[in-house]
Amino acid sequence: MDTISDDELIAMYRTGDADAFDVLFDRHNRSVCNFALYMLSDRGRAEDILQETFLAVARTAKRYEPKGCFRTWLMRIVRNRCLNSQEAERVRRDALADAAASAAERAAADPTPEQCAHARELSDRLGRCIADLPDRQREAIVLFAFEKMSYQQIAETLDLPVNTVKTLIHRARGGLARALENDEEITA
Amino acid sequence: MSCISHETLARFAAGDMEAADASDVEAHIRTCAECRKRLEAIRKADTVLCLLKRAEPSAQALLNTRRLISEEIRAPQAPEIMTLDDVAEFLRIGPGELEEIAEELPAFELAGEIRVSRAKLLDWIEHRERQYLRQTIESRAARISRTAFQRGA
Repeated sequence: MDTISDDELIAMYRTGDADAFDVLFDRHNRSVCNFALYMLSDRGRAEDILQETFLAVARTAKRYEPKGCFRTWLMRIVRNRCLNSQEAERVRRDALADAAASAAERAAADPTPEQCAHARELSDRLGRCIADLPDRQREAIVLFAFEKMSYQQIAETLDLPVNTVKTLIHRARGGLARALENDEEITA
Repeated sequence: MSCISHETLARFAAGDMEAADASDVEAHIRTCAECRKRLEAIRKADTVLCLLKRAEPSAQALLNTRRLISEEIRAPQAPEIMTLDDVAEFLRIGPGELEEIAEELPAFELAGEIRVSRAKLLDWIEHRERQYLRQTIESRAARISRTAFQRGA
């Protein structure tokens, strides 16, 4: 089944082949979880989104128009669910006025540099820098770097003009480089 | 020429720039150590970006999700076009409760009979889920604000 396209799998699932859906899940669960994790900075919530997203796909597969952009459609679902979750979280946090606790939680979740080999450490640092980027830049760079999506696919996923996506990505790459430079100056 | 911004250098490194502008950047980089350092940092960040691995869902999350999906996709499906009895069974409510929400249902008339499309019913459920979530959030926020206020007072 590995060579079958996403569109073909969806078509098979629509005709009642449940195994085809399992293949789609195996193929895309990491992308969904990773994108949600970078959007929400919370593993538990990201895993909830993973569950919600695939259930939504299973229930609404008929709405998908098979034009070769299943991944874009999927990521749009993930994004919308993350935005809802962020909104719910924002309301909760506003009410609690609890920003300090959040910063402490995040700091506690950071691995210590001694635990990491150099390449691993650099990846971790960059991962944290990505988490600190402004929302739109973070969304765009995660789709660009992890999902290897084209500017056009990212534009469709985020519902933005292609030029805006390019600007977001260049700005994010510049921001990451700057953050790494600062990091190195601090740790040097 | 003053130093070039990280964003412009990132654009340059990605080759997403008019040839004339790229020549200006190249000329500047030859004479500016600071911008060469910046460009190097961008290329380094780009290299690491390419090597980043996706975060994996935990084994437990995968197991739970697979189980839920399996229940969803392998369960006997309700018919595409449902009678009101089918709808009541699908929603797991009694005929009396169905009557209470009958006006809200996405129903249509066919040869004098009321029918509901399963796809429309699923949309309707999703809409109600969103409504419920919003209400829950708002009432929870109001409760927390009240508690915080009382604590503060």
